[in-house]
Amino acid sequence: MKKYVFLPVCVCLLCWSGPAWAVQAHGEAEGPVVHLMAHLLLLVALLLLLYVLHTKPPDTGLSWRSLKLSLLFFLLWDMDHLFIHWFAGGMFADIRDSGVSLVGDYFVGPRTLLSFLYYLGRFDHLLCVPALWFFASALRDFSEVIEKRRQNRAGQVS
Amino acid sequence: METAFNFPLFPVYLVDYLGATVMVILAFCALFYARRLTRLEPKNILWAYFFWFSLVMVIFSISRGVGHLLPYVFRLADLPELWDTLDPYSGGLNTIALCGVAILTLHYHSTAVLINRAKIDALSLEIANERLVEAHADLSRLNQTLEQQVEERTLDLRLSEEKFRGFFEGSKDMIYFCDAAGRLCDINESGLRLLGVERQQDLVGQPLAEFFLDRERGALYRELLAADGQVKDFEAEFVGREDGPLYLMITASAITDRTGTTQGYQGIAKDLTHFKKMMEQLVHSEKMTSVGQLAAGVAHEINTPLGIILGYAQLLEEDFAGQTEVHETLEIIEKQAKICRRIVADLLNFSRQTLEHNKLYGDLNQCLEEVLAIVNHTLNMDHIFIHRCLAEKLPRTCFDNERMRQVFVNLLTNAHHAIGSEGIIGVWTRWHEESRQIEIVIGDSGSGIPPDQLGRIFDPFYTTKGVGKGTGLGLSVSFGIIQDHNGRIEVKSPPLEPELVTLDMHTTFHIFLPIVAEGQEKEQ
Repeated sequence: MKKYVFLPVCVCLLCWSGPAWAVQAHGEAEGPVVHLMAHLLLLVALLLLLYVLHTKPPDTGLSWRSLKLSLLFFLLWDMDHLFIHWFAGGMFADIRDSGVSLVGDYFVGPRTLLSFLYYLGRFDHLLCVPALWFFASALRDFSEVIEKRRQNRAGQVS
Repeated sequence: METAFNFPLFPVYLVDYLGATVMVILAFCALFYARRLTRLEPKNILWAYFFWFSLVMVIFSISRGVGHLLPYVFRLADLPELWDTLDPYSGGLNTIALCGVAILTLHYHSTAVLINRAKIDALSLEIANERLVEAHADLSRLNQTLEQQVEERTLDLRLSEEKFRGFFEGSKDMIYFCDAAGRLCDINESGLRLLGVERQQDLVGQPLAEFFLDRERGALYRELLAADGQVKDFEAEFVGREDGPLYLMITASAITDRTGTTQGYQGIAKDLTHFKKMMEQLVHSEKMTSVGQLAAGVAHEINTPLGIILGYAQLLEEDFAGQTEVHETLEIIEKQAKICRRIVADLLNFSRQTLEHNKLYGDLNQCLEEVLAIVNHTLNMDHIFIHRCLAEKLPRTCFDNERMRQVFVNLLTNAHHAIGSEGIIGVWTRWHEESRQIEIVIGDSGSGIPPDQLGRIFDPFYTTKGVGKGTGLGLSVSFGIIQDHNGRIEVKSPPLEPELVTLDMHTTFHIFLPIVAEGQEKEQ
């Protein structure tokens, strides 16, 4: 019963939260920095996991390959986000989305490779969707293998 | 200002919109499969990690989807300021989700390391356990093999023990075991029977040397055994049963341990008593046969000239009837010639060369009574008492009454001479139904016969009497007569039977005669 009370209270506190004056003042730039740090942390974690799976693979097969591909896409997506957040974070202050309607919006930036890459980087779903696709398919393959194995064992026992 | 790019953002919005939607769907799919995996293998840490990863991805995809879709919606609804309010929360949730995924991944890694270590330990334990199981199986197999071997060995031992026990108990020879001091430890039934002992306990612990009749012989046996570790065909007389000493041939050996120390002795003693008696009888019989043949030859050769001497002496007596001196001389010649003829007749009797066989069916008790009646007066004169113990129901048999009388007279006369005066002569008749023999025992309380003379008393002309008192043919003739009746005569001095010893008998003659039915004698 307590958890049903605790969670809504937490949500309310998050919604009506304000600056914590009593402890420390947090500026407006703290949000992007923390987000970047989170991406960096995820980058490190994904690199470590990929390294472990590459050096000490628990098993081989299509499902494990899918899992590694998934992590690779997640890694690329994370790097893409780092790049986009960093790029959008103030290197080029005049980079903006302009236009009144959604169809009429254009990205206007200097004719540089960086601007082009930024534009491409905005298509981050082209990385994270395959990542999740491979991840889900890997999990599906894992579960199917286990179920098949169980059925074989049951068949042997019977 | 340099030339600017002018990229349309609508493709970006479209990809964001579709991608965010697909991401939410895929995240839920991943959560579904992760949930299934955790249910299939709840203890698998990787599945648990995937489950939490998927859950965070669901939150992240929803949050991100909202972050991508709502700005466009609010812009289309002309409420862009509303998004400005929600944007920090969406971004914050995204950050938390990213941190969550990163922490989960790092945590999984450290947990996986720990689990790997635990797995390695578990694997080591499993290997150790497998080895233990294998060792246990090996031990079980060894144990089974050992048990089987023990069973086989036990069976072999039991068979061997049964075999040797059967040999030990069933042997007709005496088998014995002694300790290092020469005391009997174990002896078989035949040994007990030979030594005249009923229970083994009565023998165990007694020195074997004490059973030697001749102690010096016993000492020699021990010396040889101690020196050589064995004796073979060692002949010795043992104190045995009531019917006399045992003549045994011993083969024995020492029992030694690995160091060569003597632990005891084992031996087999073969009873040669009966064999030796048979041999003695055979030798005696052969001797008697030879002497008899010699005597018969001599008697035949002497008989003819003796008859001529006697005939001419009688003729001359008639011719010189008037001349007293010559007649008396001729009478002496005739008398001595008759003595010679009697001796010759005795020799012929001994050698069984006489043709006069007058065996009739009769009662031996009666024959013996008649002889006793004749000699009774003479014996009484010398104060010799006759102890009679005649069997009441003695079977009748065929015998030569006259010659059997001669045997009894000879034995009684010998007894008289052995006693001299004041003594006792015992006469027994017995019926041995099992051997179908009649035994006549004539004993005396005389001085007995020395052992060295026992083997010669039946020899012709062997006498211990003074000159003129005996010819040395009495026992020889008696021997011949008994042989002629298919019997045997034995002498015991001293007698073996306690009953006879109690009556002060020092020498006893035992005559054994077989029962011969009427008519059977003629057939024989």
